[in-house]
Amino acid sequence: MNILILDWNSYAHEYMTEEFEKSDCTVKYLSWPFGKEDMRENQELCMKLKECLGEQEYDFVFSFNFFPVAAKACNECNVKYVSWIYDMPYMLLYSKYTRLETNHIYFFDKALCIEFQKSGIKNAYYMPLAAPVDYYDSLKERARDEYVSDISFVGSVYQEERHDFYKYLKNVNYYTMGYLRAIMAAQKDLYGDFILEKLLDENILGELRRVCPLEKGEDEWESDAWIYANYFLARKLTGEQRAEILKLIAEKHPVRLYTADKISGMDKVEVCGPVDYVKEMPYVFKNTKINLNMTLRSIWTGIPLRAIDVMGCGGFLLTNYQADFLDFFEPGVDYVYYSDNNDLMKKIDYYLCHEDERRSIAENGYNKVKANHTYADRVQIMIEHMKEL
Amino acid sequence: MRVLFILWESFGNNDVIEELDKRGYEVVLYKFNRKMEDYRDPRDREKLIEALSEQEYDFAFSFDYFPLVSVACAVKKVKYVAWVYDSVLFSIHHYTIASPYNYIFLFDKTDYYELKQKGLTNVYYLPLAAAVERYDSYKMSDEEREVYEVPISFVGSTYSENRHGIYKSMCQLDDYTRGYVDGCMQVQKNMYGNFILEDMLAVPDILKNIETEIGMKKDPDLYMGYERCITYPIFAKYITVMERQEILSMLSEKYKVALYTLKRTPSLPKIDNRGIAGTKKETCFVYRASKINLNITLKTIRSGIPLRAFEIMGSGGFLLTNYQTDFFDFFEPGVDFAYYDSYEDLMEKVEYYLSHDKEREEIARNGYEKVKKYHNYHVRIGAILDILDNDKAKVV
Repeated sequence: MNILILDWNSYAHEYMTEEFEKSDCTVKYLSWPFGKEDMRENQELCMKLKECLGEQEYDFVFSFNFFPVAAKACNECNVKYVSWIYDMPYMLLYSKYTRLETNHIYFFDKALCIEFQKSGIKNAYYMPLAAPVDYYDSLKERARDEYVSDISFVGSVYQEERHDFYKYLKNVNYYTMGYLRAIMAAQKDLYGDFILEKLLDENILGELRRVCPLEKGEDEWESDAWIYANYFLARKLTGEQRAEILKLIAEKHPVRLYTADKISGMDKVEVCGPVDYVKEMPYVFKNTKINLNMTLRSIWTGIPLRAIDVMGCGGFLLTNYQADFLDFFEPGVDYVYYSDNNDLMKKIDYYLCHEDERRSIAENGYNKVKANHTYADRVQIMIEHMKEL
Repeated sequence: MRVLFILWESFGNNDVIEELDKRGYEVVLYKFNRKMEDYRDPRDREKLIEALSEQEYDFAFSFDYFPLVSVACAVKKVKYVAWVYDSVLFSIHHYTIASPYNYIFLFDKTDYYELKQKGLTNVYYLPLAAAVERYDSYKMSDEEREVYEVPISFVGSTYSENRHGIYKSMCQLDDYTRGYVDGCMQVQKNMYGNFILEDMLAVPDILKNIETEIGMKKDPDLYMGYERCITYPIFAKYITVMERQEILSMLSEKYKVALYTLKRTPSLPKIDNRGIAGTKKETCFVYRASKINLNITLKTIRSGIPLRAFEIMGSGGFLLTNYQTDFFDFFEPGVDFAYYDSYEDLMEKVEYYLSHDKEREEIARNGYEKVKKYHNYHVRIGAILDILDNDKAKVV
């Protein structure tokens, strides 16, 4: 098969390419200006892709995440457009071009997938993320002193200005401020159900629009409540909760935070600066006794990449409750989840001093990811699927 | 064998008295003014102690729990059986609750666990019951059936009087607090099977603002936080006000809905308000003849099965209830009853069961059989007496 990959600054293009090629596909790249150009209505880019599709025959175009302009070009050339969504929220999904029949959209989050299926998108499929286990295995020198620690978390606490959309809402009236605080407090302790969006009623939305109006293109069909809840509130909540949890742990245990953020007010947490996703992160996961996953709260049920990478590296994973895990993994056998702060602290205490159990869970998780959740597995499903059509 | 029966305007008095009578107990009635539950008044206490002194009693019995009765029973070394059917009943957090003469039976499992966790050993989980034999004796004529046969009915208060009162107090709160409280209530309204409102309101600043504006005080003899004081009578109740209004309004837009309630309901123009179901017999006919009987539990009941639900099933009616955890201890959803856990779910289930007569009737029959067999007053009083018997060895 001939595949064209839209090449933007995404992770994992190299893993996908390798697996496509192993399956006797020929892969070409088209440089894709995501983040630089308009991804919805962009005549020039549309033409560029169409020209490329005219030069030779492709069985399908592939991209991580979804681009309306690509969907339009593929549709006009009658070429399948396969996308695999790993960002959430992801606003570009809410386009009229999402409905085109040449699209085949794989969602890593089951709840989101079901929502799109219900909204009438026929070719929407559920496909969790994957880990390059072979690569992680090839990192022979497993022990690396600088990454040895008891507990660590790799990710953002969204303290930086550029992450904080919530600040645009600071001028809402006191009533709305109180209301938002209440629903965020409720969401904080509630894993397994995303309630922020449905709790934004017209009264509250009116006030949010007054202080921070939203501009939407004519083909966008996401609701205002969706945008405010997922981009403004969920992110703020995630940042606050991650910081709160790390501070809570740090009162009792040494804990590391690997992040690119500038951090303040977390004195007892050992802040370590960012790690490279490919070259360094695997060593963190391999050398940490307990790897935390605190999912971005706008991911409704999905297994975040961090979690699957921890398991793929053979690390022990302690994650917040996310429903999709239960589709593939057994809690307490392949990984461990917590459902509130008390539960988290208890499990940390337990697994820090039960080394054998911790190791055996890490090994089970690793074996399961190696057997079923590698890029090879995903690519195989994708290719067979496209061959059938 | 003799029981002092603390008599107040409770449900189920006759059913319990009848059952004790059948078992050979002499039941002596002691009229009790529920409003006068202030155990501090020595005259009321003396009066009850006097009554307990006149004859030998095996135990005293009351629905709900009264500190005054507990104190009098402790003085006279008489066992006190309290079957609590209100939730959350503040008096179970009174310091007298730990008296060794008390036997506290709670219909709500969450209340039960809470007291257990406080270390109380004299508390038991005992759901409510239905007087199925009595219901069975009510014969319904075809004409009567015709009157009561409606697609959907609800028997209960819309608490419209509360709406006004609570809303007025709410308006006195500062904007931030009002927004916070509204947010909490909306969250709780949409959440079934987990009561988080109390914890959510337990934020010092919020509580302080509410206390200042609403002015409700906590009885210092109650072992509970101030948040409990305001959460249940004010905010949890107000959620029920909203919920019943919204559900009845939504359903009456689409279906014929009969409401049996005391007050007029101008905010529900499409509802068929039939006034209060006057007698037990009439209530039974409503349950028996309605295609779907709704149970919208008062939000203050955190997990318990409300009396209405037992009466519906015990009358042979089909029950569609909000999700309440305790049902699952005894009944199978979709077999003995049906539940909803969101408004959308409610609308779907109403539509489904209105158009599947056979399934609906089958479920009503299953629920009826189970209640008749396991959830009548004979079984409940038997359970209470067993516990008293087994406890005889206890030194009191």
